[in-house]
Amino acid sequence: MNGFRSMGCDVALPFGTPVDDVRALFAARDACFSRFLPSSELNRVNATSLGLTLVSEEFASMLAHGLDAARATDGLVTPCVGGAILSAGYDRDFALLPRDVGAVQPVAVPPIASLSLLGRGLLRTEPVTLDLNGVVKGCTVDDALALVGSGWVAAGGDIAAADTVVVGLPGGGTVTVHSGGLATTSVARRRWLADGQPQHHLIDPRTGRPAASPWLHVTVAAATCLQADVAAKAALLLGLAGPEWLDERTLAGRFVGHDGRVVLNAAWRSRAPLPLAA
Amino acid sequence: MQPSRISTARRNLRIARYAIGVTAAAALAAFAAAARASHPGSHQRVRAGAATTSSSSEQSQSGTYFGGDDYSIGPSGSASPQVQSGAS
Repeated sequence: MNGFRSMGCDVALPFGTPVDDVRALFAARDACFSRFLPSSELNRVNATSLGLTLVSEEFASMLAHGLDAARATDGLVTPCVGGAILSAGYDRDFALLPRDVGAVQPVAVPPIASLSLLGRGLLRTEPVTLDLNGVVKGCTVDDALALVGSGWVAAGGDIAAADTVVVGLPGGGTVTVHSGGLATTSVARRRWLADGQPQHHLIDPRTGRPAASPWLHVTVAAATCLQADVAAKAALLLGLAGPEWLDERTLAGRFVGHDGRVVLNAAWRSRAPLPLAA
Repeated sequence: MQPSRISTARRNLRIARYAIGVTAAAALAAFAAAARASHPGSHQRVRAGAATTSSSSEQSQSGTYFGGDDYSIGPSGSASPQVQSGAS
């Protein structure tokens, strides 16, 4: 397996796949959208949180993906969570976070109606700190697969596949992806404390706080890695309503609870049923 | 009684300020309306490295954003995983 590290995760491709262009793509996206690189365009845009800002074409395109995701999830997966994730204490590269960041004060997540995008013109009618992490990785995995043209690409375990790949799943077990995308959202990793209270990176925009969900991991299969990633985040945020929400969209979902219990929605069961016990 | 030159100047200044305010508000409203009406994703392709990405606001409603069942997964039996999902 080929591989390199980018965006804080391992990127993997099958043996023999040219990796240089994919590495350059990930590096370019990280340089543009990282919250932790002072020189990133995201940080330049966030330096002013209100009014009219001219952004690059690449930034506008990714923000359009973010707005699409927000509309498709009724605002659950939104690019407007930047302020809330900062307020939760996640204000530097995770490796540099102290174990306990001290007391934090949640902030409200602005509605996407406070953002307007026209070409490269971004208008914020109320202060919005952007965070495009909800779409950048999935979109980049899809674009990387388009770049290499065949096989599969995985980043942090989020996968876009044009050929068959066997994927290990959280909590054990495997699934075979023949085509499309597969992504897992988890609140088991990237956890820290704020004045003794557990925090994680997935903000619930309805509360401005890290999500309180019965699910530890949610894995979704969809037509693209971006769609799978967005749907997995929304399903985790929706809690017990997550499996049905995915079924309504014919998306296959696998949920792992905090107690390790695995729940498959109907779409997953019909495609990849659990093996019968011996 | 003729208004003084000072009061005339003040009146002209008020009119000018009002006109500027109305023009600025109209321009902002027009920009916002145009931005909402013509989301860029549906007609914008962007180079990023050698890859392109596109977005479609027409697909942004939940029913069409997610590509339905245009994907294929299946059981893998006892095959060893080539990659781990949810690794980071």
